[in-house]
Amino acid sequence: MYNVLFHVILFAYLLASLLFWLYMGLRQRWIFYLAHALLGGGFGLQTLILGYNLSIRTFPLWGEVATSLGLLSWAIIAIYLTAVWRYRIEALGSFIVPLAFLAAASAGVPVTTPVRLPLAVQHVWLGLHIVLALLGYAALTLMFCAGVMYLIQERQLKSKRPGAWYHYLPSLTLLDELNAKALLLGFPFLTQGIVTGSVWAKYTYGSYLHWNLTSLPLLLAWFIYALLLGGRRSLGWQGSKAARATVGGFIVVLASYFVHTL
Amino acid sequence: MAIVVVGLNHTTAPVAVRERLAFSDATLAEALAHFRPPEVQELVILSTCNRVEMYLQTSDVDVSMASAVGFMAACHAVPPTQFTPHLYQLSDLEAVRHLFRVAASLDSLVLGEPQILGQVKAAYLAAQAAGRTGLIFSQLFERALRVAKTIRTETGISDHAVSVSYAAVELAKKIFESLQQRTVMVLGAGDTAELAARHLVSQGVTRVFIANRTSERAVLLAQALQAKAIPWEAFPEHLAYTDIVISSTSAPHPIIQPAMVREALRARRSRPMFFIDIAVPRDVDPAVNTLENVFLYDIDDLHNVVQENRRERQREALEAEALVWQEVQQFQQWLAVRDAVPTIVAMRQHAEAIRLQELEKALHKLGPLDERQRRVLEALTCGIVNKLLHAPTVYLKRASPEGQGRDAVHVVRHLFNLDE
Repeated sequence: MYNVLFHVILFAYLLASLLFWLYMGLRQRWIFYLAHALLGGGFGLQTLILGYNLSIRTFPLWGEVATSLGLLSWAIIAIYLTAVWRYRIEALGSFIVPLAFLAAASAGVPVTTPVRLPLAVQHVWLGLHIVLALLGYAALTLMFCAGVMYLIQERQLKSKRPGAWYHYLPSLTLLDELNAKALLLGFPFLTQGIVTGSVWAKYTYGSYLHWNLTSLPLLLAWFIYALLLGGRRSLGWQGSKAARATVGGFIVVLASYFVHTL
Repeated sequence: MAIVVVGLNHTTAPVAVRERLAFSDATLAEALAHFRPPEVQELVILSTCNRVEMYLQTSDVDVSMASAVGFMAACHAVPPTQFTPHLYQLSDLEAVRHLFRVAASLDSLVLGEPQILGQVKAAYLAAQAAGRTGLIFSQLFERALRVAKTIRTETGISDHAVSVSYAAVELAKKIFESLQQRTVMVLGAGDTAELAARHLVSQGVTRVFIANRTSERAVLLAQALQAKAIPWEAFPEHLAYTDIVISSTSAPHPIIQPAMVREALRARRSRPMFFIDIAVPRDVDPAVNTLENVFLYDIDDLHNVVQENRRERQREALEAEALVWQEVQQFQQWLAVRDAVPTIVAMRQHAEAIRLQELEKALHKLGPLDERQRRVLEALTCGIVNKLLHAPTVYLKRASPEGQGRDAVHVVRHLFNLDE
């Protein structure tokens, strides 16, 4: 059953990604709405599965690192829907939804029968830790997309040959604001994730600094967040610098994740 | 019944001809009231600075076109020979398509310009008020206005700025999102700078500084724009508070150097700046564009943007043409269905009249018959008429939705001699 549902969700995200790209080229309103309908459907289904799993007090979705990626796609879509509702940036979907699809696809099919984790591991701190950390990652993904869009739009404006991208993408100020807001939203999530993570490690392994699979990317992401926040606050990292630092930081975190899990 | 348009526009006639034939609001009302040849059933006159057109719904195309030309000449006291070479005359499908293209601004001097829709609407309302529109023109013009609105919202034909000052505003919006609460500095007090500054103010810019080498000009312009005049020497230190700089001085060398801008950026914590340099020779060193979060457009760059936007509108126009064509065909269908019904009725009435006449004759010759015999004769004639008319009726009804309805109507009316 999970198998089928997972593929339905995956297919919905894939189709939504393709529709967002199609919308970029054709600019027909109905494509935009159809993409959102698919996205909403997939997201709703994923939320239901998550809620069901929480209610039976098993954590099959975050039993392994790989399945936490499936949850990451859920967090990315949640953050995307919030951002689109707040900022009405039509172009955002073409960038972030494919990333959510990739996160879901690389998660693979979750275990079909929910594995009841040992009581000690099933500690509520773990759930909290993972959800908060994932929302932090999702906010970083949003910042990355805003950063890429910023750099494309900046290049369009600097080159003085505004093309299709110029019309499709929003203004630099709006993209920079999105970047800054996502930073302010994501940083506390990630900080909490690290704190709850180390509390959980203390309960489970007896040490606050237990080295496990997810901690390196998490710490790296946290440092990049801190760097960006500091840069914005005291070094006047506006616009271009903030965008480039975000894109670079996201790639570093992603790379560390793959290096770490392989 | 035919729809006809006679007129001239900016591509066929020079302004010297157009201005002599244009109708003012007063002469338009008069023209609508007085142009009443018997063959013209409906009339709309569209007169703008780029076109003068008469739309007619007429029973005789050639006669009404000639009388329209004669009327234009008489109305404006211009000999017909002076403008007939510039006229175009379109009828039926082509006339409908022409009106739809005009309303959608596909036939305008500036593709996608927004005024024409209002002008078409005004022309239609004026004709309506004068009692010169009927069922067909109501449908035609309602549809023209509707397709124009659809094209404006569904294609990007009106999206991209096609004048230098609007292109500058559009660029500023792609940098700053909104121009509310932004600060503009105008260097030089020339007319172009004033025009650009006015555009920005109309977009919500709240604070404007004006600096000019001769401060009297600056003060005058500042009064006109409700801006603040600052001494020429003070402009570099005001850069730090300025988001958008419009420069149009007659200085022979660049007056804004990268070092000056770098200092301003430091003071404003790298918040973006937009330099619009419309001076020739240029006022802003081109190297300024290489600074982070700084965007510099000189007059050639702005012209290039406008060119590119024109091309963009032309691409959008292709989609608009397709929409127009669809609408033309739908109107055609509406006309055809409308035409088919009276023809079917006329054909049946015609046949019924013949049947009754012939039945009367036969009864007269046969002498007294009983009720049953009369009924058999009645059924016989009805059966023949119905069977004969079945095929042409189906032909008319089936032809209507496929756009050949009007040909079918014509054929049937001709075959049965219905117009005599």
